[in-house]
Amino acid sequence: MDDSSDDAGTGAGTGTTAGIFLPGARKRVKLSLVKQQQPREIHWKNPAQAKIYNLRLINSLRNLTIDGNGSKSQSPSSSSSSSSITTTKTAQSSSVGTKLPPSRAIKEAADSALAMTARGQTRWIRAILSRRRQMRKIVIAKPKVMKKWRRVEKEGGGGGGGRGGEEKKKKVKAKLKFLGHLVPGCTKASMVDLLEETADYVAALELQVRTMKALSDALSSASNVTTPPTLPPPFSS
Amino acid sequence: MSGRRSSGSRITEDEINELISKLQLLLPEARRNSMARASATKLLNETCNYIKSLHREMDDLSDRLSNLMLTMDTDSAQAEIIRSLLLH
Repeated sequence: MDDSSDDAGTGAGTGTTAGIFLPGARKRVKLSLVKQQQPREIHWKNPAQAKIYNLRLINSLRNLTIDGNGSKSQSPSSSSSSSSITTTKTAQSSSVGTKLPPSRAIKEAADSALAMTARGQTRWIRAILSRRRQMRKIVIAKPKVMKKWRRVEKEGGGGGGGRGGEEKKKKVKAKLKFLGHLVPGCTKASMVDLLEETADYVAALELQVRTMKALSDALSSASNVTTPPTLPPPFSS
Repeated sequence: MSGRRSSGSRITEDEINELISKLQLLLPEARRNSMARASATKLLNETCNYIKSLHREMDDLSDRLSNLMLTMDTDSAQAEIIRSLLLH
């Protein structure tokens, strides 16, 4: 009997390739990249991830204000919980001397916290992180996934036979371009990439808005009233 | 970069439509309509609007947060953090 290690590639698609060892056959099936789609969106709806993001956000916000209300310099955020595969775990140790308007600083902290909570190597995540990299030196490991995406990009391009005529296609293309400007880092992405990025980005944004709303609610209720804030009514009824 | 053509990598119209319809499921409006709108342009439009509104909401919230945090001291910040952790 073979001592085949049943190394099935479960675990919500971590990493780019996973190998499944079929017993006795020694075949290695590489799960394609497409399989990462499903887990990625579920990832954003996971309440555990929401908690992680919440903590990270609170931490970084606290570090923002500890430095004093005058200059909002961004000091290191000390999140050590399960961060993403590629992105920085130790960096962000230098402080910026520039004075950002506070709302902008908060937004950037929220965005980077979001990007760090994310798993996977989508473009918008890397765009956000590289934006911060311009302010300080962070080493971001460039994933190898990118190359494979490029291959698809080269061969894709135009769609199949025109179904709705030229006009519709032009409109669709214009909309796609506009969408590319909305999602960070996707101005030059192909159609497929862009749509996937958008899906991911929308889910992430929703999480972000939800978390910040809860946070600001908690803050406002804490500063207004001395009595403990009332819990929101439970959803299950 | 050279042409190593793996089968199924050609992007057809169908694939695009499928992706767009998948996107539709994410939008809150689409859940109400129960997939009545299938037109690509409309969906893309909705998506753009939704993202823009999310951005605006984010700006609004961060403004609020910044105001709140400025007028608060660190002690109550700790209390607030604990509380918000409990709420989740």
